[in-house]
Amino acid sequence: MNISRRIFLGGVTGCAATLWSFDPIGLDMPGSEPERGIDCVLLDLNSDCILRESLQGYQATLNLFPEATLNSRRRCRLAIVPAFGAMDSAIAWTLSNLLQSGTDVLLESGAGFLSAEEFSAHQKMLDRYFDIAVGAPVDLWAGKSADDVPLRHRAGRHPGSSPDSYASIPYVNYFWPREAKVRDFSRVIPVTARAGDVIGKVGALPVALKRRMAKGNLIFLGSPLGPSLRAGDSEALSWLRMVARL
Amino acid sequence: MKKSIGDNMIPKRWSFERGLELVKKAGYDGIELWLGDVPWFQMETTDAAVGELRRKVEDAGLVVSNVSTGLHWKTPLSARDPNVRSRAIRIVERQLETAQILGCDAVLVVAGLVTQEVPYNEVYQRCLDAMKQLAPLAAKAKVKIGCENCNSEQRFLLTPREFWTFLNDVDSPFVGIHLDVGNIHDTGFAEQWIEMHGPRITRIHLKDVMKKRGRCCDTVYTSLFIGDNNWPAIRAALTKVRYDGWLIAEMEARYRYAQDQQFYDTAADMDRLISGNL
Repeated sequence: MNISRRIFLGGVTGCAATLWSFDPIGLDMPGSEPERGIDCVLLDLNSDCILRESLQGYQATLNLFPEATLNSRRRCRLAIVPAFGAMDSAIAWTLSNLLQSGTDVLLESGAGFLSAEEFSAHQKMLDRYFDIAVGAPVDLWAGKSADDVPLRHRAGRHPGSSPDSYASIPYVNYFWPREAKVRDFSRVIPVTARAGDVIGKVGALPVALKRRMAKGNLIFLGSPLGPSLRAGDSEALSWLRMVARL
Repeated sequence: MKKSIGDNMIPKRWSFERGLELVKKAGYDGIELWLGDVPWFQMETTDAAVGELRRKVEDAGLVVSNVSTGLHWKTPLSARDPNVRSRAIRIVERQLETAQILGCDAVLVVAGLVTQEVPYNEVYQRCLDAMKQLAPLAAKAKVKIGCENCNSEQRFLLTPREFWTFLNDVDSPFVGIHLDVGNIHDTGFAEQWIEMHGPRITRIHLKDVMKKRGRCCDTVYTSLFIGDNNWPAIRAALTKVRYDGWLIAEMEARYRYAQDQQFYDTAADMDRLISGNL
């Protein structure tokens, strides 16, 4: 089955132009060179990719050019869907077929900033097509002092927060395929494992899952990894490279 | 060099017209308009009403030096939420639109906000994305975007060299630096920023700063010549880079009484700075 997702030429062209102009952050971190020769597909859901920066992070890390279409006959080791919000049934079916035939699928939720209505659709789609139960976004910084001691003396121009105290950073701790501690992205989507293994948590909250589906593995991330990849987070880079090489 | 002062300095309960009269009388050449900070200039203010502001400014014998905003402190270009970022971009677009209507060629943008929650490298990339997106609009409008150095408050682009690298990465003659000589305080020396950024300086904010001399050893802003800025060095650096643009008073420490007097005193201080007789 060959499907194409609302390929408005203008949109795709605009997206491609944006991606070509993306210049990964030049941190010269050890091991920050893009991967080559990895058998992956990076799927660009266009407007349904909520965080373009996440797509860019995967693109830069794995040296992939995003594809706007997905062919279920295509054989690849790993298909990555960054920061998705909505997903139409055709794409979901294609991903299911890929899993059946042995492709691993990395589904990254971008639902943290969706409206309640949009999130409900997101939740139903995951349940229906991938048998994954997710809870409403959890704001990891609610009640914490994200800001802003230095602004207090400039209250006239910088109105707003009245901080209490600083709190520790709510890292996402992955423990498969390697241990990694990655920056949170403010909100996480908690996941319930009906089957499969929890592979990442924030505190005690499960936010990442791996489960076998036919011949493939489904990896679900309830906290976007792509922005950390783009920001050059070495733990995130190592984690993804290990997933890509499995 | 020309003198300007922000309309957000106009005492509360004063009308815009009364404020303009004071600004002119105190000897300024222009006025800086703060989008979102004053009742007469909001995001919802129509083009026609903005045109009317221009007429009032010109009737008072002044011009608009630039369009600034403090709205990006609450709606940062570096926010993780894409909806917030869209609103932040729209604010800059509106600044560019209104600058055209007001007949000026520069806007001030606070380009990013590093917090405990949103780390530096994320902020850098998002601000770069935003500026690359906005630069063509600025070029089309022939209005320069000046990213302000709010060093300690933003915790972003803390050194002149970082700022230089950022502007190189943006790579547009329509994106430069709106240099605030008071904001550098504990993180360097204003004169070095002036020397390093010379032709990329779109506008200059003036205020002074007392380093670690406030209560509990805070660094606090103050009126010109009272604080720790090295004004002779700043003046010399301006000469060195041939800066001949707008100097804009941004007095964060306000007079509690006789507020109109601050306009006169600051204008006199600015004249003294421009004269070089320090």
